Amino acid sequence: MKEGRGAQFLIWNKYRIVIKKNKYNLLFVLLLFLVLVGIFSHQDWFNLGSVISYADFRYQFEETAQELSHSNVWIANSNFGSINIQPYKFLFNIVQSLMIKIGLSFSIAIKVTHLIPITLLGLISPYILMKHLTKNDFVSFVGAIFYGSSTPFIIRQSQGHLSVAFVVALAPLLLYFFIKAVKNNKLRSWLVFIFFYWVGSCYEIRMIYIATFLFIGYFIFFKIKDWRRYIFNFFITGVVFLSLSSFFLIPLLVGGFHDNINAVASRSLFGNSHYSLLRSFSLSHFEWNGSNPIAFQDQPIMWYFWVAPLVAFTVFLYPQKKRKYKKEVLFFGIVSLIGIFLTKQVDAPFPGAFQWLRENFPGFILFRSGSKFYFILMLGYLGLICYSLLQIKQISIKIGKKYKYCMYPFLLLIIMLVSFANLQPLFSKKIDRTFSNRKIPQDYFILKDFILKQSDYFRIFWVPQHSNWGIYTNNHPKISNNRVTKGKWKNFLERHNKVPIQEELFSVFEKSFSDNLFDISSIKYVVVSVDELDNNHDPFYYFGRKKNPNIRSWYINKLDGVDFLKKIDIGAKELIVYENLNYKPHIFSLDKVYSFDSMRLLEQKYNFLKNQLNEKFNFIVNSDKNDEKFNILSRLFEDLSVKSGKRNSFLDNKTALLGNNNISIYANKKKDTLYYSVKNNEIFFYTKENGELLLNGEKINFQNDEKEIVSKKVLDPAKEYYLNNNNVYSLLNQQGGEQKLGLVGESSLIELCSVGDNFIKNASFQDGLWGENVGDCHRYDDNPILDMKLKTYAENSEQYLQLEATRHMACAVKKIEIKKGGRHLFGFDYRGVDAENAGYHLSFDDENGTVIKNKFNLDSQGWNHFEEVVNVPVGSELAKLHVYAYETDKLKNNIVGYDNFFLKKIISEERVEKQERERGFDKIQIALSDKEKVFEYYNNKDQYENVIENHSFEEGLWQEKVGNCHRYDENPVLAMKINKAKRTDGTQSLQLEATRHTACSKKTFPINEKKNYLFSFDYQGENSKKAGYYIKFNDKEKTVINEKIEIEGDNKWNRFEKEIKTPTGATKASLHVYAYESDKKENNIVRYDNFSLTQLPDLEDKYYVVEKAQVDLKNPKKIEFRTVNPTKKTVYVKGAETGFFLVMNESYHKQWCLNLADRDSKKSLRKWFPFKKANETKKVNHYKLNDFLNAWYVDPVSLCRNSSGGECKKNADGSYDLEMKIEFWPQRWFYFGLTISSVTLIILFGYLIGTYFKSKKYER
Amino acid sequence: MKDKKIECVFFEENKDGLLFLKSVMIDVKNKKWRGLAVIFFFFTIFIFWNLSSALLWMLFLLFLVYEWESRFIALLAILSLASCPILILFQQDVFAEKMAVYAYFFLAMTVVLQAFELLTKIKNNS
Repeated sequence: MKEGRGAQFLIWNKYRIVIKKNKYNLLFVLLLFLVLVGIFSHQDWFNLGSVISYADFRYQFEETAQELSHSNVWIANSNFGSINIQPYKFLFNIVQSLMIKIGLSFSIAIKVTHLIPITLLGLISPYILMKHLTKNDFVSFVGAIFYGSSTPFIIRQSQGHLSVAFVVALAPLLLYFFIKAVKNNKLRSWLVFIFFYWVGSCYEIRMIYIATFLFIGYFIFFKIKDWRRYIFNFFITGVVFLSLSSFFLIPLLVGGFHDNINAVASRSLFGNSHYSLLRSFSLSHFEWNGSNPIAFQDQPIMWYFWVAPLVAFTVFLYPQKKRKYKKEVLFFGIVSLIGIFLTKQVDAPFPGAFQWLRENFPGFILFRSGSKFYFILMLGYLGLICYSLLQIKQISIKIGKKYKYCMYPFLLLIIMLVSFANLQPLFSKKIDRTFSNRKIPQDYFILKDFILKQSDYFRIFWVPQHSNWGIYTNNHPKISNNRVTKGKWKNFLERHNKVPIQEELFSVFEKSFSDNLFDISSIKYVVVSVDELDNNHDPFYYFGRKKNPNIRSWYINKLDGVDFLKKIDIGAKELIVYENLNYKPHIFSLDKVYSFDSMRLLEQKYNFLKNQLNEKFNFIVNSDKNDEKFNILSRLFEDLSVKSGKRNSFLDNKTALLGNNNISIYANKKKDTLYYSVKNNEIFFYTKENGELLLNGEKINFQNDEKEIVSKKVLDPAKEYYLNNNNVYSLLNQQGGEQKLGLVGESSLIELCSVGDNFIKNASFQDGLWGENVGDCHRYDDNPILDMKLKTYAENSEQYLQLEATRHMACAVKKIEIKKGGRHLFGFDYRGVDAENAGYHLSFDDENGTVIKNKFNLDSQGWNHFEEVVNVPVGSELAKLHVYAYETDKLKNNIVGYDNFFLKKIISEERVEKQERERGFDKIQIALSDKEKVFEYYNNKDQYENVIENHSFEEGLWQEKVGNCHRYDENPVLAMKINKAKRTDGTQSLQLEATRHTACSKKTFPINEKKNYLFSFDYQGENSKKAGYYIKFNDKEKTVINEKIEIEGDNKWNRFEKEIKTPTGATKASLHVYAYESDKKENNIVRYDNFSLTQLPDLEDKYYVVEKAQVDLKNPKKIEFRTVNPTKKTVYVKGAETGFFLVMNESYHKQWCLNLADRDSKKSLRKWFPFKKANETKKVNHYKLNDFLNAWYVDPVSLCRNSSGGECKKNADGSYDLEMKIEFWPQRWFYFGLTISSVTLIILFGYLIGTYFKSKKYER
Repeated sequence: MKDKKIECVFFEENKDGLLFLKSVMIDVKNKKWRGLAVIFFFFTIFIFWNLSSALLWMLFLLFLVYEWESRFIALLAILSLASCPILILFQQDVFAEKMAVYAYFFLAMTVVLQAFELLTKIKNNS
């Protein structure tokens, strides 16, 4: 054995001697090995013919990619165009664009600019850095493998975050250049550093921002004493960087992008649950599973991830006095700790620190998760591991030869193995994502050819989202259904929490104005993506696939029914394409635009415009801009919170009306109210107007305001009658006089019914219990504690059933004989004592084994009544009814009482066909004075009262104990009390406190279904930034309305108001209000007072005021345009007789300008000059048409008044021909900055090349 | 003998583990005022925060004022860190998280103490 070991030592010694002699050969071998590791781990990235596409990195056809150089400050090829807040990416965009223009494919271009550099730099740059710092080849080599194989880096690559991955790969090299520059402090070194630093910033400026702090830290740590020596080079370097970056810094700073940047920056923290201290320590990405990762799914930390941190931190165990690299170790130690602290995001310790940094540290708001800080941790560990290995080598030497040749290589090997374990799924191609070659389905090539042969401008709408393989260009932009639904069209759509995603997406086709929306958006084709389950590229995955495997067919079937689309055959096998024939061109004119007060109830406004006024749906929303050019369409009483001193009176002051004689008021007669009353055993159904409309205090009298009888019927006194009001059944009130049934237009069915005999025998327990013993309907063990008994009412001698359950579930069973299937009325009374739930289970003996069941929450101890219509299945002869008492905590006795069961056949007596009658709007023409335009709605017949009892906590708290609405562990720190010092209404308010978990208080109250209510309350916070409420209705869908509200100012009362609509079938609502925890230490106090939920009159679509424009506008005879580039278009207007609206269906942005074309200065620099906008822009007004498009009002007379060039021409008939240009102004700033950057880059290269040859010459 | 040498290699300065304890005892005995100040600080933190914070601060301040070698805290950090995978293995994730927090604090202490040691050395040299 000893001889064997001795032989090993000899070989090792020999090897070392060889290594020392062939230093450069070793460097070559190690670098070659690193390159080979890169190539074999990323095989498809080095295959120039492969097609890579996944998640955030999307494949582009060459026709798309070659236009990348045009996407400078405005991205025109997607949706309706958007600001490019990442203009710094122009550097590699132009390189890719040029490569494609010289005939290379997009796949090659992306490999040259991103994929290959990421792979190689990820391994080589840490090697270079550590070689420079440690002077040890093997340690640096192992460190490089560790860095390049860390899971956050691999996952970044796999997710297609290529720019981020590029900077992660480049960061060690940047640090190397920085260290070199700091060391020799030569201008040339600094300029080399700043060049690479700038290249990095052109890929991902946020990552470079983080790296900057690393460099500052290094300088402070090592060279702060000599800072004076560096001032000159710092200054020069800074100036060079700013000059090089002018092309993106100038547009970003002065181009008016602040709002867009703020919108992105203000996004809230993301993915808190994915980040933890354990993950940070172990440098384990949450998606990493050693195989193909599953998006956003947390995976356990594998044991071997702990090897690297343990080896890294072992460096601190060695006495500092004897350490060779004291400062370096300390530096990388601090870097590691900062990296761990930031990547753990909101985990302990100091969970609030990340959010605090976002709010207080300049620039930190740009980071919505800790993931971008992983490379700091990777760099820290890289340094610590390398120094730790060096130290172990040093210790081994001290101990003796035997260990010298074991411990050090052993640890090198361990780190290598751990690193290769991460690379193994790449070698074996287990990870699919961006690492595998994709196949483009043939249909997408057919679509590409079909689209590109058409030269006119149009958009392509993708359902449910754009396929990675779908062609799009600046002339044929793509629109993704999912993007537009949440983006530019979101105000057109009502969002419901419970609607499945596919239905939400499809709602863009189902609106009455959908056709109009598609037309003005220049959408020519609607395309349904191909199923691509094999390609790991399923466009339907997040849009209904999970619940419906045939979701694509669902979309196609629905689209087949859209009347404004026509299915066309383009020769594709699977790709489905629809054509929208009436789409508008990119730039067009309008002669009539309406001004709306708000975006609310657009469907009703559209229907009113189309059906009543026969007008097109073109509008702006901004009453401030009302002037003579616009027609005004104003819905009265949009804001019902404005009340006069009178009860039940609502005001609306229409100051925006100009007050001319062209004002018409429209009253919707479909909004009249339907009533019934019973007189002398005869029922009458009739309609009449409920309230009255007043203008400046005087009643407006419409025609047909009188009572109108719709239907009548003689009643049989022996029968029991019910009214079916849109499937809600209620007992007919025969003594109460006039009874309201609701608005004429809101309900489709009113039916008078009678009911037959009760099929349930002994329904009120007059003959005793239904069975001898209590049933056990959930026997999970042999220890039930249940009971059943008959109880007697205190007020009379009648009896009811009482079920009791402490353990298991008590039940009583009743068999019911059924005579015939069909509609039956089923119901009973129930109540609970210390119980949380009651419930029933009704089963039938039909073929399908039909079951109807329900479980109720018990809020009070009083009796409740339940009643519903059940459809007894045909063929059923026997039903079995179970009623229950449920266990809770296995200790408390849950007592539930039941009585008065019934199951009765429903017989239809009379249907009131109120919908068949043609009813429309009554119109009245009025004149308005200039001053007073106050409309008032007054209704003394309906009660608009607050339905929340004890709304101001004057009678104490809503519940005895504070509720815990987020119990994630057993350590809540919550409180609830009455506060008498701080309140708004009365003498008391509710105070909720939460340190850990969420404190809540609950109140239940009755409501009416399908009604509008005004919900309001006062709130204030102390140390708390958020208040919140949650309203749950008892309808079948269990509809919920909830919101978190920002609290403005500490201890300052705020008022919250919201109009809500109660869902169909809801009779009760429960309201929760909250105090939320923050950092688990601070006591977050929220106070609430003065709650109000008041029913509002249904004035939606009831009254409209229309005021016609003061001037008659006409469309010009012809509009043509030419696209110079995505930010510049020339418009040719022919035969403009009057003013008109010019529309460009690019997203509205205030920096889009319309000017007369500057013909005289075509050859001058003026058309590039960014400092002063042309004067003409002041003469044309810029509007946001239909909430998302650009529109300008063009008055040719005033425009052409001072025009001297040929851009204005007056024709013999008095009309004008105009040549105008539409321009996105920040593009001029981009060109200005680009000039500075280009000149600087040339000078920089000149200097570096010059000094290089000079130094060579000097060396020679 | 050689095996023993390996065990003590990280603590060469204190060839016998007791030596460190002995030096601790001597320091505590000779520099009582420093110890009292730390104890006062301990109680202050204990009153306003909690026991674990007070203990951690006390440990840090003791090493700082008595200038003991910080690598003993580093050892605590390594032990805390090494316990994490074991605790995770036995599905004691909550304890593992707590140990990770302690590991972080101990490492932070180590780095700060070593920075002080370095600064003191630089100062003394100059």
